[in-house]
Amino acid sequence: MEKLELKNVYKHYVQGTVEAVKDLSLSLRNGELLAILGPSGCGKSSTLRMIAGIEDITKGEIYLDGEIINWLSAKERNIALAFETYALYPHLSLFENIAFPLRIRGRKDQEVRKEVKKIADMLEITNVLGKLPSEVSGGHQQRTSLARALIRPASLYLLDEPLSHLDTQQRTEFRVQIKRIQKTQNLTMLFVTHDQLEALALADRIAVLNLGVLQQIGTPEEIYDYPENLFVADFVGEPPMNFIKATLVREENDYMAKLYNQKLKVPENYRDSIEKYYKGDGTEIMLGIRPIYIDISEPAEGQTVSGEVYVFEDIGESGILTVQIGDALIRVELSPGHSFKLGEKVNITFDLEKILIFNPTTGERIKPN
Amino acid sequence: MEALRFENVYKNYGKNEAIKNLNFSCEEEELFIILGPSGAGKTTTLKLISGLEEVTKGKIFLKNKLVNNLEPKDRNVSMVFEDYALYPHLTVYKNISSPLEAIHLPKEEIDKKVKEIARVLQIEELLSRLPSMISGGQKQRTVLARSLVKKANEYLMDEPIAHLDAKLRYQMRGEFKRIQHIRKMNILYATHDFREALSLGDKVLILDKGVTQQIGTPQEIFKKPANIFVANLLGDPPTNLIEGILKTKDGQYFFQIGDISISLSKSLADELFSKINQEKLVIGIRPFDLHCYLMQKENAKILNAEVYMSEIAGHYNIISIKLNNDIIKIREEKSFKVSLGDKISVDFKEEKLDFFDAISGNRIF
Repeated sequence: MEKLELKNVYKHYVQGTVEAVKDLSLSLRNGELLAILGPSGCGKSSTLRMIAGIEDITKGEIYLDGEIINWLSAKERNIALAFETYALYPHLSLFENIAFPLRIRGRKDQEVRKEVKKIADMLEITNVLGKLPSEVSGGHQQRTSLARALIRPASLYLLDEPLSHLDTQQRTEFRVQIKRIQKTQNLTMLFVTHDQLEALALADRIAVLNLGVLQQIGTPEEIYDYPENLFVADFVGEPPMNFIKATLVREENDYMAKLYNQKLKVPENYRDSIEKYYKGDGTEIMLGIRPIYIDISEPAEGQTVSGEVYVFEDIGESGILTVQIGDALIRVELSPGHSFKLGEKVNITFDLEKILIFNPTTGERIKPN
Repeated sequence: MEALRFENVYKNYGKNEAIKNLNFSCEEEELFIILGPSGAGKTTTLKLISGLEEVTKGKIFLKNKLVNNLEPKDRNVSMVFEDYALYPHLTVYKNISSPLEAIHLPKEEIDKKVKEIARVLQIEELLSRLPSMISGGQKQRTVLARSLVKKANEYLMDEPIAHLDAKLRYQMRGEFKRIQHIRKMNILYATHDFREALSLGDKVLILDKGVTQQIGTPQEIFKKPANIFVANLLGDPPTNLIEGILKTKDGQYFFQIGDISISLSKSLADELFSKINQEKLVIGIRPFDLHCYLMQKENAKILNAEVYMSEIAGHYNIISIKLNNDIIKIREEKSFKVSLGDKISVDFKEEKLDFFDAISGNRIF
């Protein structure tokens, strides 16, 4: 059974005007960690708030454990929440903040202590439990907020930008802890983030939203390697994907992609789908290729493109080479140990297996047969 | 000639020592980076140079001239502000010339300077266009041109691209590096981002709580970090740092981490023993210098490690294992797939190890 299911959900803030969420359908399996990823204004927070019951649903249905919850108040939904803006009780110690959900349920003191200690240990805040929220760092406050959400059993845990107030190193450490807890306790969790690195690292599946519309839902590998459209391709990945305008040419039985002064053979497995799309020589396509799937090479027949070094950056664990070809700049990610001079001639080859083809008008990806 | 020199500079705010005994010098045409976390003293250092703050003790020289007592306006340094918006109703030319017009330079001189910088940044042909008629990359070059069109003894830049989104940051960083290659300006650039430091810097000074940790080229600081702080600041994920004890038994040498021992060669152990006076050490190794094997790999340095976490980082898979109490991160190709609890072997080459003193944190070798 699906744990959570959204069916054709809409959110309008002012009747008939802004649609914050449009026709959103998605579901979460038991024990799954789903990320809702998108830029600000994409509708991710509105979605979270509708699930939590903080905002009502304009249209559509939300089911939790098979029951429709549209008309249940936030309290009546068996959902635990951790917010970006901690919302801790300022006059209560961290211990009492975490204990709060158990106290209001009338649990025995001894049991409360045991539970708080257990979750505080997991989140490494045991030694600050006696302090007030104002006496600890933002990172500790964020951990406390999460501990308070996790302390009671719930059908679903909602996390709103759970790592936003931490520095890079704390963030990578904390994200490991969250995923460990979620996996070892088999919790069903949904979190909202604008950070694609965070979504890739943490989630079992990612739902990418833009302007209130679901763009794609899939595993991190699917989102990274097979983005459904130009928006997802461009939003996910660092350094960002290269996009190259090209035109199709038919030569005997093969389709070729013409880019710069080079012609690359369109891989065989695209044959049928390209045939459908092809409207004569000169039909435009957009090629997408990640910097890591481009390499430098000796000039070889057919498949290399030559250009000049625009800039080279050695960043220790990798080298980022930007190559100028005509007016275009192509970024290449190399292993450590390279060096280049400005203006030097270089030849690059594309890993043709990894090239993605998009329809430049609709932005949709043209898939292999 | 040195463009800039700090001699034993201190800056106190009341009892708080923001800068402690800072010494460094920047050559002409050098892009000098100050790298450190927030609170390191980066912005304070820039303010001392510009004259917005007074030094508590010590001397600052610009082109060999003591400037401690000079007014900010007499120092001829340029603070580059984080202003990335172009005036939409002005042409690219007018956008670039605006800082020069503000100081009422003669028209011919303005024209010369604007054209020169536009040529360097390859936007000459766009000068008569409006911002709405040029591409994103061209807009960024226009912004750069505007901030660099005014000549200065030293350009001071405080996190100039930190607040941009990831994509723009990548683009600007590249543009920045390229223009510095071509135009060779004196730049002092403060950042918390190790990628900017390694990419852009001719030299990098690493600052923590007002104290210099290391000064060196990007290669030097990445390959030979002077201490644990520096090692931990560079790389994503940063260097793994593992505390343990150097041991010998039956003529064999080990690095003991809890109940796990990693064998070391005699030559390495001998060298270590000659340089240390206690057996407690910290070893450092980069995530990309560690390699995982699903099978028991014969003679692998670490056997039977349990997968603690596996996270996708773009093209890579970052695998964590727990060694005693430390979490060790390993960078593998994304195709290397493991689940929580799987047993793996981990191997590495001995020469990839760095050694640090467990107490001082300083590099041994």
